[in-house]
Amino acid sequence: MLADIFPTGYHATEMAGVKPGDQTVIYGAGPVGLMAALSATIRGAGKVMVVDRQPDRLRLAESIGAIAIDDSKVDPVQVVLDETMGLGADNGCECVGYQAHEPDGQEQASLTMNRLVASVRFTGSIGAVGVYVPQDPGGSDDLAKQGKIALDFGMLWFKGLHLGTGQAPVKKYNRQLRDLIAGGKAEPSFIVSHELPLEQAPEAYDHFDKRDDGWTKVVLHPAMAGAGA
Amino acid sequence: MKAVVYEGPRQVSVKDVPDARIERPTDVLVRVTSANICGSDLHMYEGRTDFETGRWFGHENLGEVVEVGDGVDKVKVGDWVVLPFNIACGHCKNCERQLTNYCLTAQPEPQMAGAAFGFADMGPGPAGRQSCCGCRGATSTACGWARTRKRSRPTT
Repeated sequence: MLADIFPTGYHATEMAGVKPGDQTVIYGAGPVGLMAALSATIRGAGKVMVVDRQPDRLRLAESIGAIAIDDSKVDPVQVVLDETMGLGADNGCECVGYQAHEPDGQEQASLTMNRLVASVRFTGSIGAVGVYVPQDPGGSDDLAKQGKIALDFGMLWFKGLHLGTGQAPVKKYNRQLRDLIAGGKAEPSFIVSHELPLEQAPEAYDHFDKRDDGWTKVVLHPAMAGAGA
Repeated sequence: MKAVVYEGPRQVSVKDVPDARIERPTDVLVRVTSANICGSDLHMYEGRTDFETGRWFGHENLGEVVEVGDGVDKVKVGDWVVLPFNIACGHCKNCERQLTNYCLTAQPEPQMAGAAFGFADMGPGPAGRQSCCGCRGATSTACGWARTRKRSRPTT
């Protein structure tokens, strides 16, 4: 948890500038999105909204007090606006990345970024920790293949939004987050669904990749019984 | 030691690989006891990056220090440590500004940024360890940091 996802989720909320009382929207309820939701809560957000379409992940978001928004059933931007008196969230986190896709599986790399631009209020901030790449030969269209997305930059500028990007500097946060865990103030392990021996990595990757129900986070143990030579 | 090896899109296997070892005075050897599957692995797993076959996955590691180089004095054998996925020296221009995610010496290729560890039961590969965060059980107040050099190829 402290090696990557908790600091990465926290970094998203840091770049988004989440402050006490804020209304924060998080796109993506994978491990990093759920850590961003936990981090926003720790930072005192008054309302945390999490957008995904996997029921198991949305349940985990709800388990820590977030509002779960299923984008396979509703327009997530409209729900965020409805939850914020039409103003939009104070800030938002992108925790999906370049393989963002519609619920039917059709990839659209700009999907979550543009939804964030639409979901965050004027002068708000966005922290994007989902992975984007300079080239993506397997991308779904010519722009995506070049590592580009059709960003609603006009609206981003018009609203005066701030955008922070990139991988997290883990060491900037990991001591403090460790001490939150040690102090009983944070429990990132709430997302762990499976603890398996290392030798079961191939099947675990398969389940996690398919978003099979209940495979929300896998911890592999090289020395666990059954993992022997 | 064992490692999770990328064989091609949606194919990984657990294989024996060369044991990690201390190569430099600032290296720390960690026996990994927990290693998580990360969502960012899936971009590589699905063949959507330039990650080469034969390389190892995994960068969310926790384990016990089993050996330290002569130049390491903060991390000791028996310490439990978490390994940040960023590979960083701790003393370059970016690291000194807390930007260990964009270390200039651990990743000297100017067109690349960042790097990650692999799944393996003695730490990832024969190169050295870096910047461990002390984690003795779940209640440590000691924070052991080793500023060590680390050689690695970039991942994404």
